[in-house]
Amino acid sequence: MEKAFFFSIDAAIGIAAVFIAMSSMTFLYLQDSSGPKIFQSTDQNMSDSAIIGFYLDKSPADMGLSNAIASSAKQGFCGRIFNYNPNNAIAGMQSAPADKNYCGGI
Amino acid sequence: MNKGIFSGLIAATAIILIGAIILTTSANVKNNGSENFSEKILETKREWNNARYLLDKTLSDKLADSVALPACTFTAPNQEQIESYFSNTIDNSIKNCDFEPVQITSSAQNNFAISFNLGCSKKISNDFEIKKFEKTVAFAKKADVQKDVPAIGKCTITITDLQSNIVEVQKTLP
Repeated sequence: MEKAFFFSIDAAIGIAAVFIAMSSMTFLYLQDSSGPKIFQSTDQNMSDSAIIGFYLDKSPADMGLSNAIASSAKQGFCGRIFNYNPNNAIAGMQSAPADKNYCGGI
Repeated sequence: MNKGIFSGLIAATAIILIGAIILTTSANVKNNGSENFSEKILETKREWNNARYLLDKTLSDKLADSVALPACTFTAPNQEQIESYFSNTIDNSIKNCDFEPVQITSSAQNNFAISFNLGCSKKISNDFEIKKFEKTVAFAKKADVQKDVPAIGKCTITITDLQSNIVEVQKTLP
């Protein structure tokens, strides 16, 4: 008996290929990409907040941030800024830069 | 009906879909890569700003440390002395920044000015480094020293930034 279309092996392979391809595309389009986007935004916000807070002499708390990433955060970023105080107490000795972190997490 | 036609159509559709997947994925990867690249450039510029600030204050520190006691006399530092202070500051803070030799452009009457190139770079991956962000920096300071009572009094050192007119160092030493 002559095989019908749906019973041919090459047609079955073709249908399987289309099914796999469509499933893959659906998966790619539906996967949640908001996490990395929010993180990139957080990264840039921390970096900006660090330099602005530093020049305005604001603490991390004044900028709505903290000096460390909260342990409950899934991901976070710290903008690190160094300060230098030339008014050191010891004459003839160089001061050392001191770092300050402006951190946020989501 | 010839079953080869259906098979051919299905195979062609599959190829087109697979091609679309490859293009979509590749565009997504490129997009993420360019966003990452932009962030790194902005971060490098922020670090350059911070490094400039640190070296500005470091120069004031060096000038304040160039006052001989108990005579209370100011001696302008030379290039090597300034670079030594700058290197210490960079080594203890933003290590991906560096400076080219410092040129002393003025040191007359306790007015002290220098100029140098400051550059910062950042690695995006192990085999790719962005172009260094580099600009010329110039600082101008004034050092004032005086004894409240000649010969025996305390020595007051005042370092003023001539670009902002801000007093950056003011201390009295015995």
